[in-house]
Amino acid sequence: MTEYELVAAAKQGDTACFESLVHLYEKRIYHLALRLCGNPEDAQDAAQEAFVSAWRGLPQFRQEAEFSTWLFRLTSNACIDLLRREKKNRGTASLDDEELNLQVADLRCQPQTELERQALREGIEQGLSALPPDYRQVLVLRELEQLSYEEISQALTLDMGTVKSRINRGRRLLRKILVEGGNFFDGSASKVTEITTKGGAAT
Amino acid sequence: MNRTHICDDFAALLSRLLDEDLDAGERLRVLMHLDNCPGCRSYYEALCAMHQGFTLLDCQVPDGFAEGVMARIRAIEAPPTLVEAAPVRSKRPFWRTALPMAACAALVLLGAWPLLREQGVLRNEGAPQAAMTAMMDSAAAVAESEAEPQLKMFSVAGGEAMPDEEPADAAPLESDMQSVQVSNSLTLCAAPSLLTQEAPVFTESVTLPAAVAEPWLQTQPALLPYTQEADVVTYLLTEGDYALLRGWLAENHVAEHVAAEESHFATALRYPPDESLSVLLTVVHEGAES
Repeated sequence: MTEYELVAAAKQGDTACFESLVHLYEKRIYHLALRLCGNPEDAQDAAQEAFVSAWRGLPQFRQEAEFSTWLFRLTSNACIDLLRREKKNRGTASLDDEELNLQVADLRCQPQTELERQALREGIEQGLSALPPDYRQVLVLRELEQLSYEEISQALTLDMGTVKSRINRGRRLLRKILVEGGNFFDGSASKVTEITTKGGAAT
Repeated sequence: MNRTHICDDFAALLSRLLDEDLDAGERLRVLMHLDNCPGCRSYYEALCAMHQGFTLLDCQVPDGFAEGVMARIRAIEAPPTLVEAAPVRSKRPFWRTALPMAACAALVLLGAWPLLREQGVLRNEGAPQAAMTAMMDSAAAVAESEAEPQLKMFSVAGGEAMPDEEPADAAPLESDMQSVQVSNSLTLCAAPSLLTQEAPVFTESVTLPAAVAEPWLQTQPALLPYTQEADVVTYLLTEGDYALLRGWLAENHVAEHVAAEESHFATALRYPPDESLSVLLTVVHEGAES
């Protein structure tokens, strides 16, 4: 069955088809939740809640919209709700902050590329957790889920200008966090260039 | 122009360059600027590195994740029936114990009805209404489909007697919801499948004033009353729902209502929530709790 057919059947109450959709999307949804929530426990909770919300909302879901986009929105909402509920929102950083209390590993002196990659990965993970949720949402949907500006706009019910602006500001802030955490040399892209070159050009 | 300076006019364009969102003219202008601005070039390289960093992120979905989701879905789909009541705690108002027990009693009688009727133990005095008959027939059909139909045994901790009332006064059924008045004051509401499902095990019961509970209940349209009286309505919550309720209470600054039950939460909540277990939420309207 195609995804469209699975969604149509699930709308009629077919739990087996919905289960297929869960299996189809569980990794993407859990990964999205993990990056938005910042820890596996909350991610599991939010991702599960997103699927349950999808099941409850399916009868009202209009299939002219992308099921995936809708699911991303539910996940995003579930994560934001959870962060608010549990007061784990650490998104107090702003572009004007002088200090960011991060514990980002500083492995600048490690020559091995794999370690540099690991440092970058950890830096991104921790930097994401430090971003305000509004920025984190758009950045994760763009970078992780590869959604277009328009798709993010639909998923989060934001206008395109806001999406572009948040992505831009989110990137600037994430870079600031990485620089202050020691993962990037401020004003020197030697390490960045090396990683980008060895890892393949980003764009 | 040094390598730490980022031109404000170009920062947003560099972000869009990364996302390939620029038209040809804009792209050319930005690339020319990058040739002449070490700060923006450094910034763009950082954007590229971060983009690369995102591709390094990965995760493993926890074992049993999909199964956990589907267990919750099925719990939503088919609310289970009552087989056992929770251990009765001391120092609790009688009605908080009596309500679930009354529900037990109703189900015992509902389950026993076809068997008793078949054996001629009960007579149809005061002819049950059509809807009630339909429900009983449905239960009887299930019983007859089993090789050895047996009356399920119900156990209630605490030893207090269950109300001994027959479901003689059946209320008319709603379209998709079966509702049976089992006494003058208690109405048992159940989804059509309720009579044939496995029973929940109450892990906890929590009581809230209607003024506190109803705003949350409005956010949970799928949650249907379990039992209903004039001033007291009960709901069966999964532990996941219960966790949501607690979060909502905390967020809405009504934690004091939770605090009173805090001693019970340790046993009521576990992580991840066990969706096969149920929490009885009792909503009391003003003046009912005395």
